[in-house]
Amino acid sequence: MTEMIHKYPKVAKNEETKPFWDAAQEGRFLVRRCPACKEIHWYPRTLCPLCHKAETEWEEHSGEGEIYTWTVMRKSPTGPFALGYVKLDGGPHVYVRFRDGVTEGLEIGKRTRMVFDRISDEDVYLFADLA
Amino acid sequence: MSIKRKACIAGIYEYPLRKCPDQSIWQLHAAVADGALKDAGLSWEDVDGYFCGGDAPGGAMAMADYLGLTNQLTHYDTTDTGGSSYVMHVGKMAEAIVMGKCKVALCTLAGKPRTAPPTPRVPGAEQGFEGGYNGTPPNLYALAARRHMHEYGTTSEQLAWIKVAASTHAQYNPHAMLQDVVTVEDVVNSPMIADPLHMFDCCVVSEGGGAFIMTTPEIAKSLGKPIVNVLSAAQFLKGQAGGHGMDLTTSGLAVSGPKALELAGVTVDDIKYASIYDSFTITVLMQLEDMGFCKKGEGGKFVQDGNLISGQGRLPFNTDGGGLCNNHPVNRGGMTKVLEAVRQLRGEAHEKVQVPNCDIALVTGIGGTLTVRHGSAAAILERG
Ligand SMILES: [Zn+2]
Repeated sequence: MTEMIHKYPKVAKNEETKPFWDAAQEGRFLVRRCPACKEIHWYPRTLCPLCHKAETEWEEHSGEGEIYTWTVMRKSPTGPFALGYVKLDGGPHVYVRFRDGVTEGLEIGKRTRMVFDRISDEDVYLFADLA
Repeated sequence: MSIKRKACIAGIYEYPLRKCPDQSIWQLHAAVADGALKDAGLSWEDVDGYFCGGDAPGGAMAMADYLGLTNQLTHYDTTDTGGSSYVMHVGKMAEAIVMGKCKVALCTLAGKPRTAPPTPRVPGAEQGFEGGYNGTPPNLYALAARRHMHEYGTTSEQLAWIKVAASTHAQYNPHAMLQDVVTVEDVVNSPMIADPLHMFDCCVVSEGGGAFIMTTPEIAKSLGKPIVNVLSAAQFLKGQAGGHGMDLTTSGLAVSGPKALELAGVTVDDIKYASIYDSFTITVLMQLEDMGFCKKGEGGKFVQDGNLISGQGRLPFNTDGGGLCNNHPVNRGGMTKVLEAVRQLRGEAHEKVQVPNCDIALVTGIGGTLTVRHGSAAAILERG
């Protein structure tokens, strides 16, 4: 784990997403899959937003995927940072920020993985990194 | 039931300042409302409908109270899809008039983001998964520009032509925040904000606001101003759809735009002037494709070589200088888009940018965030 990052707000959790953030503390990346249409979606919701036929279920995902699009924000008081969408393997596109310091070597199609970095005593937050 | 030619925009007003440290937000709403009523030749007592967006603190109820309208409104509506709200309101005001809910509808927008940051929109369920990333308009719109370049070979130079056209128009607007004509080279050499978007690909941040009045054709004809009919309006929400079917090179206007054309009974060939929502150059390029002015992926070719410049190209756009150069009050460009379209249809645009025989105009809006979730809107107006 790298040094604590203090520039992120407190993570907004709720009853529905608590299991995600609990698993995140252990470095596990959870998604929800629908038993009816068999798809996983993002961000996690209980009623399947794709088919609306069933309540979805938590499962662990490798977090691996590839860059769909990206940018490096140059005008930022806390220094440049990268944002993008990654397409998870076998799953949806996820809007995500890249881990602090990852602003070089980004290209559409490049392999990525999801990581959790500690942003406060209470919280870790979801970021992408190059694989 | 159709709204076609059953409601008219009878009054418009754009606040002349772009920085307003000495005025309150409420004061600005009152000033633009008063300006639009005077332009129409109507009085405050005539107003029985009020429409606003998220820039109006407390929504229609609180704002109407401040404006002294609470005991006379038979219809009111707070809708917030960011900057497209006011383009949507064109349709909603016309619908309310056609349904007999009100006869004189007022829509206002005002704020002062340079002096005091606007209150952020109350976040939705996505907050836990997006709220910490510092996604802001420049970096989030850059995601679409990157993808458009990847899929279609669109270049920064082509995007720059959109700014060049806006700046060419802005030189004739004495109130425009940026009045210097820029070149393609100026745009691509301006500082990179969020790759691939440069500073000159971004709209201005300005204060002030604007307002318009809509009324029945009968009342409009009694006022003596040139008639501007509403032909149609349409809207469509686009978002991440659970992360499936991601397509960041198409906006919701791909649905709402053709729908507005169909409802109006016109085609893109009939559009003489277009107010295209221009938060960023890429926003304009995608909407031109989505409206059908050119094929998807060919927006770069369409905008280059001055094709958006009045008197020179096929599609004169944003002849007030647009959000890119003139005004994008409270980070919401939909109001000023409506106002310039009305000026064009009245023949009241600056003589250097007035489109000859301007009989049909298009107004578009993309509010919220193009690449995350947005409300798109299109309205088609006609000279009466
Ligand atoms: Zn499902």
